Amino acid sequence: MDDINLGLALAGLLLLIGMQRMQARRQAFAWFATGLAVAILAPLTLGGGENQLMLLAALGLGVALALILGLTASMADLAARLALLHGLTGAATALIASLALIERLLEPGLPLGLACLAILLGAFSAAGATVTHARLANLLPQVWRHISQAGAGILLLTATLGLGVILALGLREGPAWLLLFLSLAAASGLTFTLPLAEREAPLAASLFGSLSGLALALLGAALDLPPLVATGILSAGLTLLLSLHLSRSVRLPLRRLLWGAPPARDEDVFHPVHPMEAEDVVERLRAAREVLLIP
Amino acid sequence: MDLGAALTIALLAALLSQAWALRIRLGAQVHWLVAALMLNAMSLPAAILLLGDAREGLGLLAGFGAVLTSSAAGLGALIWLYRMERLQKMEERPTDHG
Repeated sequence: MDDINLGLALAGLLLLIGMQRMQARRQAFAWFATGLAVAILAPLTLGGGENQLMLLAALGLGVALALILGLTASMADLAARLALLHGLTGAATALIASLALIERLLEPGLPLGLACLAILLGAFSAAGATVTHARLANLLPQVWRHISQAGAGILLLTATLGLGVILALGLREGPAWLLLFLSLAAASGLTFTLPLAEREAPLAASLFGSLSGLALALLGAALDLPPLVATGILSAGLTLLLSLHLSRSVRLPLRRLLWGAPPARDEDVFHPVHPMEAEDVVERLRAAREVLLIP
Repeated sequence: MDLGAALTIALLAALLSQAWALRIRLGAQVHWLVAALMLNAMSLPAAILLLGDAREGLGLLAGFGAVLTSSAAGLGALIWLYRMERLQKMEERPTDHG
């Protein structure tokens, strides 16, 4: 495991250099690409295992899906695609932690508890980010809001946490309990996200990115992979601070997302899109005191 | 993993993220969200490691899904980063006309 941790630390370092270049407004693609390549090659060459063919097939399908997600949309759809990608990382973390539970790789107690929390956060953010993507891509124009939604969401989340504690202590195990846990976590994510309108969706997507990062850090601690703890916390902290920054800019407090949106007001439910001529846009921009562009 | 070591790493990473986040301009936020996605895609090596050693049917299925989703997210983010940097480069390039 030490060699692999060294490889992962190198990959993390390359990503950090990429971020530092980004901070200095310089091109960072090459550093990120090299970091990702090291992150793939280190476990492939040092990890071994028997399922290499299956692994390569999954990687091939992943590359194909990445090409579809990265190249089949215009830059205007970037926010929707980013939400979907955040959801995918959450789903991946939940699936890895589930795999560790199925294969009984972790001892009951703290390691299993951390993995269960990673499943909860991962499945929650995957379900939530999928709804957010659908909202931003105009696939889900209807906003579902009900007075009991916040209460139901908190109740569902409490039940999920309770089941997580039972699984973490090793009182129950097996695929059926794991599937129930995953379903409850995903249902909690849906309950919290369905009431959000389109203008709240980018902020929610950023917040789900933060939860995915936290899930990754917990998974890293459970699996004894310190580089994953570092990158997960770095990502979680960065996206959380970005979310706070954005929420202040658009005057939309984060607690509105966290504790459920209030019952629908007429102006919140659905804003039909009105096409505008270029001249109208110029006039509007000229008259505006402040302009905020949200990608 | 030792809890103290994990907390120390977490604290240092949180401090670093705060130091960076303080200097981010609103217009560059989307670049940083893509960078955060790349960091989250570090789940890919863990997925590869665990799928390599998986034995149970459901475990293989979960591992397959994990490698697929994490590689799609990581490479997808990388493609978007490439597109954004290319666009930025084109905007910075001086125009020939005029």
